[in-house]
Amino acid sequence: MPAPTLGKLELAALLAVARLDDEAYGLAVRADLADRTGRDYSVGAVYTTLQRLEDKGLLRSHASEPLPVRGGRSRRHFSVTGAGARALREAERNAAALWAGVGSLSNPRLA
Amino acid sequence: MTETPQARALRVAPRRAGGPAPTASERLLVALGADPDFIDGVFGDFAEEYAVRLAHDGAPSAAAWRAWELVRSMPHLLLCALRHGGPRAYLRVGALLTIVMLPLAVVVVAILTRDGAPATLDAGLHQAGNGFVVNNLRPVQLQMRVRDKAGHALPSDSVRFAWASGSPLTISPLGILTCRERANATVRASLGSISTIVDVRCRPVQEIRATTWIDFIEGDTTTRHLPFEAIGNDGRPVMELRGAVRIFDTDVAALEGANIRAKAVGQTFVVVEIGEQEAQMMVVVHQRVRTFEQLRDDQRYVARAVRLAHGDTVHWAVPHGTFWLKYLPRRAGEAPPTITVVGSIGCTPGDGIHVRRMPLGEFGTYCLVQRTGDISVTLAHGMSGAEWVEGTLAIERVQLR
Repeated sequence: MPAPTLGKLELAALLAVARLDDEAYGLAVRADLADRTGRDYSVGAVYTTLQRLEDKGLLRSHASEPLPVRGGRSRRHFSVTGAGARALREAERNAAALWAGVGSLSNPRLA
Repeated sequence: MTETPQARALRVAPRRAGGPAPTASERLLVALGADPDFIDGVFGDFAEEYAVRLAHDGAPSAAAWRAWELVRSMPHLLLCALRHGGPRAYLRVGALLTIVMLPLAVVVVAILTRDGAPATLDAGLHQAGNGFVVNNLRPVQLQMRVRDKAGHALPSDSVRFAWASGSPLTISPLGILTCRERANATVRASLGSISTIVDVRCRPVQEIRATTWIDFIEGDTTTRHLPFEAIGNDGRPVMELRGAVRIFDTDVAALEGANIRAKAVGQTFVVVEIGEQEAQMMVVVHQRVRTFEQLRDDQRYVARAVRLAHGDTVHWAVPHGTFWLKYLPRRAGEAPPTITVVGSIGCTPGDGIHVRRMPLGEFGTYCLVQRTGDISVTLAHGMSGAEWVEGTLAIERVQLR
């Protein structure tokens, strides 16, 4: 079965979850996205993206114990599923295929 | 199996036991179909980042961040809730929007349409500029138009009137005016702090003189003035008129202001109302035919061209039945030929064909002919008068009940 198509924010969020590993929950993912993309995505935008990825089977989640810092609420931790890992590899291959033959960014044709 | 919002609410309740009570926003999103765990995660992030910002930036900054973040997150969360809630969620959103928006819309409409204080006064009925033309002989109520600044019409019952200048008029404070003769005057109309001067032109109409018929021949596309004249109680024509003109069958002819234009073969009526007077005119559009013989029953309005030189005489058979016979000169005022009906006939008025000058100066020959045997009509042009007599002989067949 082909991997689901990923949007730009979906790919960035999936990569953030993969990078953050055990610390991947909404706030951390949002901070990572802000650091790497320079964009301040809203909490709602990040969470809906994460849920969409979960719906697609690329992420799974579990709730932590309630935390005082969150007003007694749980953190929802995300982790990449096997399908999510395959989707990331395919996205990487696709990117590499797109860049193939272009060479270095010092190529005069890109100047 | 699809989980209902109630079931989700029950599922989330135990986990929250001892924890924070869900906010209105949370309850709304869950009610719309959002996953409670998902919403719990979102609002937990809000709380956690708020706590961090509170420690670093202070309460106002943290509160501002939370408010703004909630506003810009809400569209995403609502869409997410709708996506997970299915058709029921859409229904709930529709109901919610109706509940929220309907009173808002009512308030907005009420604000936009509310009436303000009277701002302008001008003449309404019988309006002619900022004034009245009155063609009535009996007392009439002058009606002013009152509007507020936004242009909304307001009741005019409280407007008061008083003669201001010109010819003496009989006008009551409530605006009841009696025009006994031609007169030009001005009247002051007042309502609270606003007032205006309006012209009043009394032109009482005693009579409307009109032709009985307005005849057209099929294919005549000209527009004619309605042939009527209003006569004042001083016996002189009245030129300033306010009234109404109606036509009964707009398939036969059309009114364009005080003009009329034929449309199709047939018959209808035009009614002119001015003041207390009324006049009715029959409009007939005739079908052009080459002969009056062998007409079908449905050919009720027919006309045949007449062109006679000095000394010419023609005899034409006329159809069975009862009909009006009319001669229509090509141009108004041109003399008609000598017309006689041969045979056993009963003719109204009198006992023969009468050539009459119509009230507005046209010649016409109108006669109700009741055929009782073979008859024909003879048209003759003598040796005097114009070299040619040209016009139309029209037959309007009457359906007797």
